[in-house]
Amino acid sequence: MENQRRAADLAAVQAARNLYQQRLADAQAAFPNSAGYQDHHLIPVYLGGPQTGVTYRIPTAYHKMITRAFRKEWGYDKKRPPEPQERLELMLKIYSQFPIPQLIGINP
Amino acid sequence: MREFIEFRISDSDASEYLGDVGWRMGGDWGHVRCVRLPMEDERVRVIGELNSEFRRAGGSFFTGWNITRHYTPEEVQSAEVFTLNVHSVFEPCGEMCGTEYDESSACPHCGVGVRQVTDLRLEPETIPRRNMNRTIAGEIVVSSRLMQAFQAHGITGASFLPVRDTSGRVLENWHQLVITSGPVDIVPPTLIGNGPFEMDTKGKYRCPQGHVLGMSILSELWVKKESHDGSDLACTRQRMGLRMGVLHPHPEYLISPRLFRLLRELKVGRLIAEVAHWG
Repeated sequence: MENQRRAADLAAVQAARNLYQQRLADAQAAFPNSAGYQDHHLIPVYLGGPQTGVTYRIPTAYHKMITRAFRKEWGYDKKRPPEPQERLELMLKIYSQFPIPQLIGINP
Repeated sequence: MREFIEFRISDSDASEYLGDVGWRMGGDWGHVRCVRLPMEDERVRVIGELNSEFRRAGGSFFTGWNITRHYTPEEVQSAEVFTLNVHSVFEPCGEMCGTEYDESSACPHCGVGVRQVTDLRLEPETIPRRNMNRTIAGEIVVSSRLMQAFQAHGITGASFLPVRDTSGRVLENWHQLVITSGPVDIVPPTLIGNGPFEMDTKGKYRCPQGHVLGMSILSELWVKKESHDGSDLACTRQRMGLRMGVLHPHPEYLISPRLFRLLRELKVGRLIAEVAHWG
């Protein structure tokens, strides 16, 4: 049982790593002039995340893509933050599509 | 007046439950569908029911939503007051750039009452090149052109404070817009809720001291005429939203027909004005 669970976890992590590589390639193609790295707030500040909250250093192009994905789901011009539960769902949705590399064992 | 509601729904859920409606956002990697419907459309009710079902399973059918209203020229012409929403938004906000705030008199329940005690500091390169912009925390920054137009036309209820960069240098082209008129009270039948299908019946986001009425205004805004001092620009006493990180509950802004016409003549971009009513 334990072995089966571990195998499933490893498979999920590997799938997320593959997804990250694919999304990174998409991002670099979409933003060819975005070199370097930027700090990404795990909970975006515009969604009410703390400005001193956890950040991850990720490729600039990938950061732009994550930012766009968030703004598609929750407009940047909205005057209010999402409710806490809404925000959690939003983050799960986005990060399942755009994994944070450090959280799946990749050093970008 | 025609009322529309826009939903952001995952592309797969939208396809499965709604079919071919709305438009897919973001090109090849897009996974969000933007669905905009007249409020009276039967599918709005269906979306509400789907959302309730998804909620029971611990999720949600849609994430973002927004209500917009379109008016006939006659309705605009006869309006006595408008709400103003600034849709040109940017970050980092003042707090992230070193602006200091005094929180000692802030309400312990909702956080309203934080006082800005220094000039607003911003990163100039992040301010959009529009005449009126808002930080994610609600600070409003206007161009010199717009400030001069306000002054030339004798617009009342507004004053302007300097804006500085993070090193303290004054930014000549930008000014913080501050409301100087008395606050205006929100009155019924203004509808307030947590979402388009969720009235805040339990007062989850209502401040017990009355500073914050709830999360969002779902209807047109009604305000008490007797509380208005006649200024061209005013804001509501009661606020909406939630204190979260650098975000604060925000007032609704009100403008006179005179200021509405001026902003339109100046073609100030990314502003949304809607008709409000005296109650």
